[in-house]
Amino acid sequence: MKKNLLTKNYVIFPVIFCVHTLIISLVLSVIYPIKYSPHPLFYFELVNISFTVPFWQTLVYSYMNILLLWLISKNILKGTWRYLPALIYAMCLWPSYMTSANSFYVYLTTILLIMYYGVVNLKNNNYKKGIFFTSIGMVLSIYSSILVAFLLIIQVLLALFLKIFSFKQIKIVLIISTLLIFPLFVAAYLNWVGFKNVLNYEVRLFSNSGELHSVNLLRAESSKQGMILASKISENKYIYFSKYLIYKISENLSPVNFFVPKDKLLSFSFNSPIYLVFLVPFVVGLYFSLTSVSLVRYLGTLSVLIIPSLLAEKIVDSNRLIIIFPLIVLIITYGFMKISEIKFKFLTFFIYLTFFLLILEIFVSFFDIKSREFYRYRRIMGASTTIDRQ
Amino acid sequence: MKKLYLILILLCFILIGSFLRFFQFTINPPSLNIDEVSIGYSAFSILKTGKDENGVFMPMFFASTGDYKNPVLIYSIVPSIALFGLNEFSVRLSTALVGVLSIPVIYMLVVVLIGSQRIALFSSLILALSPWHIFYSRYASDSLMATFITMIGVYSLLRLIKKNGYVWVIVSPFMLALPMYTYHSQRLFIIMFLTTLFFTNYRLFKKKKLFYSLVLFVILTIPLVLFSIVGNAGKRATMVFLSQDIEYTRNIILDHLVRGVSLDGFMNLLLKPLTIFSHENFLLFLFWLKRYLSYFQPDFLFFSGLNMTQNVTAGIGVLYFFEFPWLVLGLYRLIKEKIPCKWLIFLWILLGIFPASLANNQQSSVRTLLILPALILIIALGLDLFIQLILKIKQNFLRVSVFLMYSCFVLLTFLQTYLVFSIHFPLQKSEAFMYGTKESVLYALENKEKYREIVFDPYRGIDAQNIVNIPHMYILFYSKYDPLKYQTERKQFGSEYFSFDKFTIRPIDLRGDISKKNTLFIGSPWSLPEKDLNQKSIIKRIYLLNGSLALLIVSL
Repeated sequence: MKKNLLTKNYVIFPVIFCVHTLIISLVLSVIYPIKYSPHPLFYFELVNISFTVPFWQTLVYSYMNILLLWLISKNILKGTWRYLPALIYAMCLWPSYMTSANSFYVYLTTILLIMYYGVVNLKNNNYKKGIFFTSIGMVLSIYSSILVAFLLIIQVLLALFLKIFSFKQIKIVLIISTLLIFPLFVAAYLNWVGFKNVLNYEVRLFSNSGELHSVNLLRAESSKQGMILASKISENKYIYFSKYLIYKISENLSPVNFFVPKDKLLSFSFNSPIYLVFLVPFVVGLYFSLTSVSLVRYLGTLSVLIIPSLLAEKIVDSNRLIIIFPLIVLIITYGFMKISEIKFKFLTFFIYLTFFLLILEIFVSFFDIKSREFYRYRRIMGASTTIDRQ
Repeated sequence: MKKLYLILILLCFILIGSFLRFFQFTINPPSLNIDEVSIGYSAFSILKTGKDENGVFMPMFFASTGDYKNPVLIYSIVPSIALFGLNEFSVRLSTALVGVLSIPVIYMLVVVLIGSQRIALFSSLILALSPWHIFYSRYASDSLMATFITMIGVYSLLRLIKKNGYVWVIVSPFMLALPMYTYHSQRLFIIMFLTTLFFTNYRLFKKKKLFYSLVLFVILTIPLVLFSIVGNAGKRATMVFLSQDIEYTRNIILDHLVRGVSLDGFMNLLLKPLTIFSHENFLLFLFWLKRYLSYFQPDFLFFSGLNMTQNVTAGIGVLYFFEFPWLVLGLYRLIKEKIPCKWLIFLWILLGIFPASLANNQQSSVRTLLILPALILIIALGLDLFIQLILKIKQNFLRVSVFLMYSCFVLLTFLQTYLVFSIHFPLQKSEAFMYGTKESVLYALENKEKYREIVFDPYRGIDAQNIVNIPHMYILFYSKYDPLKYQTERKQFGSEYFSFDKFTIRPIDLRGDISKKNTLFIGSPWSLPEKDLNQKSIIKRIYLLNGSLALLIVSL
């Protein structure tokens, strides 16, 4: 059995890696040398060392993500389903575009997946492994990005509140992590101005001057018509920004937005981040996840992964939102699992249809990338080869 | 007694709905738009001569300004014009009336669909207060009328299936065919809806009455099909088809930039047959799918779907934001519980979006209005469950707190919606309703005798000259121009040129026009820049409601 599995891995992984390499090569051949502007790591920014993740490392991280997804799936999924998340990750355009453009968030995804791999081990009572990977992932994430630091605080609190973990279970992880991030506190204390600059640069939720202008315009219009009190009650900036926040949350969490994004990949691409064919299994997976109380807890805790995109200036930031991609991939896989449980002739038809549409969509997307993507880039970005990371 | 209460409650909803649809409906939306004046004058022409303004006797489709308008709304306006004359009130009356009548009709429909009077009452209340329905009830909208008739059509079809009465054998096909003559979206929707019903419930159609009804429906739609193929009604479909979409042409056609894929050497031989996948038609399919899905996005549903303000967050969606939990609960209930005709409700929504997704606009609330009854039913189901959940809370304090908090949220949303409808929409969107054209036309009509020629520039716009107006329709409408005279008199046509009586519609070019004396020019500041004009030559400035200069009346 063990030999059989090993043989399987030997066959499947090269195939999955080949698929990923093929897609990255295709994207690179068209968009090279377009890159995101360099994103320094949080700690290095505080200690004034210019260090960013180089492209070759991003490439390695992208492959690591596939491996980590498989490791996580191995612990939570049964049978051959455990290979599906890795395959979906490898074949989708979203991670390939982000990797090709040297997105910092590919690296962050790796670190977060290391942490979640640890969490899965913790849940499976594999304490040593669990504590090691969770602590490493957590500490590296916090050292890398201030946004992830916020995200992790909320996630830990939610995990405790929703009783995913008891305090006792993660006590050691929290102690180790707190001790290990102590140098970060010191660096932040010593370079308080630098810390505030990083914060201001990363958190741009309310920095859209157009939005503020809108509130003032509404108030002025209402006041002119003598509706001062009504306007004060319902059009004040608190209500308006609450509405704006809810709007951003709903757009970032909307399933449709992962398939038909508000924000185009690299700001110019016409292709869907995730193949539209996967929408049906995603919706099915989401529906069944929402009907299970324990899965709702996990889903609620993991949905805070939208925070970096939420705090961006754009309504949806596909660069920052890539960190939620592994979760979407797992939901799609869960959807496929649930569909396969239907004892109905429809299933065979659905599988054939999905396969046919997937092949079609892949070919159409590939040839579209090859023939049109560069021209789209030139029209939108002109001669510039750097995309602002905001 | 119970029935009396029911009627009283429904009457109360109708009164609320009437107020929201009729209150100041002649001045808000702030002006008659292009379609309304065309529709109004066509109806006036039919009333006076039996022919449309182009001289066609009782047309099945009105060529109008080249967009081939559907007949039902125009014919429905004729009686109100006969009673009240050609004015804003007459043009908007029939839609507002249909908007109010939709309230009891949805009640009847829901009772027949799921057999619950409580859900039906909730549905009629939600419809009475629906911003989507109110917005389109307040101006002449063929989409709203088509939605109303579709509701009656589905109601009569269900009655035919359930009761099998003889009346419904005739009423049902008539009411299902009529919306197809009322609005474009319904043509595709009704065909797809009935076809799906036929193939999924073909046993039902073995019943004689249903079969006769189906045959009658086919007969009633033959003229439409023929006119679409042979006549000009199909032209509009081509005009607004998805492939004409600006985003599609920008991203897929890419103008002259690229055609096909360039491959070298061996790869060329190997992959050349596959380059067929780079063809635009494949991408058109994916683009359509994206468009279809965009109707499920939160911004359309809850934030800015009605496009009543310039800013997304300041706007209102096709549904109220407080309806979101009700929609989710309703969907949950529809999936989980055994609710009669639930697949019909899903089908209504999924197929209802289809026609709109094939058109060249992003998230069109007017083309998807037909799904509103089905959406309202789901929301009503959710509201019912929501009330049950609140009532289940055992602690009094918590129950009252949740109720009060949610009520505050609802009231706050209503207040915001009221401000958008009454203040922000007229101020921010008056240009979309061609505000100012009426004023300029009235001035031109008053002073017609003083000038040899009156020139209207059809292009206007504040940010750019990007809005095409049809001033001649406004002239015909507000002068109540004798339709017989208009049909028979000599008119001059040319490229971007149209002239009748003393009126000429063409772009103004100051370089050539500056020498023309005894001529009145009406145009936007783009064609009549103030800096190039003698201040004494400017007779009148017409402003939009937000204070932007829209039009200038000039005599050089």
